[in-house]
Amino acid sequence: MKFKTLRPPSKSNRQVREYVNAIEKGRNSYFVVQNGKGWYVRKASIRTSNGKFFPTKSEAVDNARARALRRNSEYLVFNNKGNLLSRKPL
Amino acid sequence: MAYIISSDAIKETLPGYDPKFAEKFHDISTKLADKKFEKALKNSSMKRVILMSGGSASGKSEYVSEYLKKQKIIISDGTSSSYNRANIKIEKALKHRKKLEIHAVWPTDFATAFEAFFSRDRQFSPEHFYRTHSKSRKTLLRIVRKYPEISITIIVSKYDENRKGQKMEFEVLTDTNRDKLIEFLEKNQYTEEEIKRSQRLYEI
Repeated sequence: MKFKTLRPPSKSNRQVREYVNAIEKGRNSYFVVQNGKGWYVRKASIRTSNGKFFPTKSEAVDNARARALRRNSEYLVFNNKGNLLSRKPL
Repeated sequence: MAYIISSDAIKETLPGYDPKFAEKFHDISTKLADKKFEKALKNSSMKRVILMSGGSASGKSEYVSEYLKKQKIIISDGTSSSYNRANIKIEKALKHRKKLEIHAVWPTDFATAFEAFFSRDRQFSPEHFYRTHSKSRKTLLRIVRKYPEISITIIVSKYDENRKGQKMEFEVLTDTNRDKLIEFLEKNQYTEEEIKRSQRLYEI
């Protein structure tokens, strides 16, 4: 199938700017993710690595909180089914 | 100027609306949007009608604001993830003899759309993301099969952090052969579980 690139969106388009800002903010966030053995913390933009391992949820959350604080971003905690348990700061 | 009907814009007018709890206002805002759309079909002299399609945060409103906003069109800016609701809109638009098109916006990858989804002001559960991305594609395929006369445009929204200048761009599918389009849509169907798994949020 063939695709044609449309002219680039205008730089003054507020809606596009906000969308791009949301992606960039999202990439700086951290995911706390559960698996069978424990918990992993990884930056949302990292898709090829599991991240840093912690045996307990509280250790993982502490790590994510500290890293998010340094980047002025947020962290999201998911359970072993991929459901969102919490999000800080809301 | 286009007449744009968006349930997200309607949410902001609802009393007590808080973007942190946007999901609670979703049912009522989509119902109000449907009524507004029906009213526009009856009262507007604009002939061209576009139903937007695509999961949450796929870039639909951004596409509308950049390429359609200045044209004389009635635009329903929603996900079209419910087949029944999309079908009702189509039947009503055809009854009012409008020139109906569907523009579907798909992100190049779900992960980027998910980053925009969970970081923007209005907040929904991740399940809303998985559901709308899966069902909007399923609905589109059913519509394409049922209504061969309706024009379909597939747009891919792309984000490239390394690109100079505007980091976002849109590509449009130029192949208009219906059979090829159906084949393309069939190949690009995903279940909610597949989309969820692609985010690597569990069992990693």
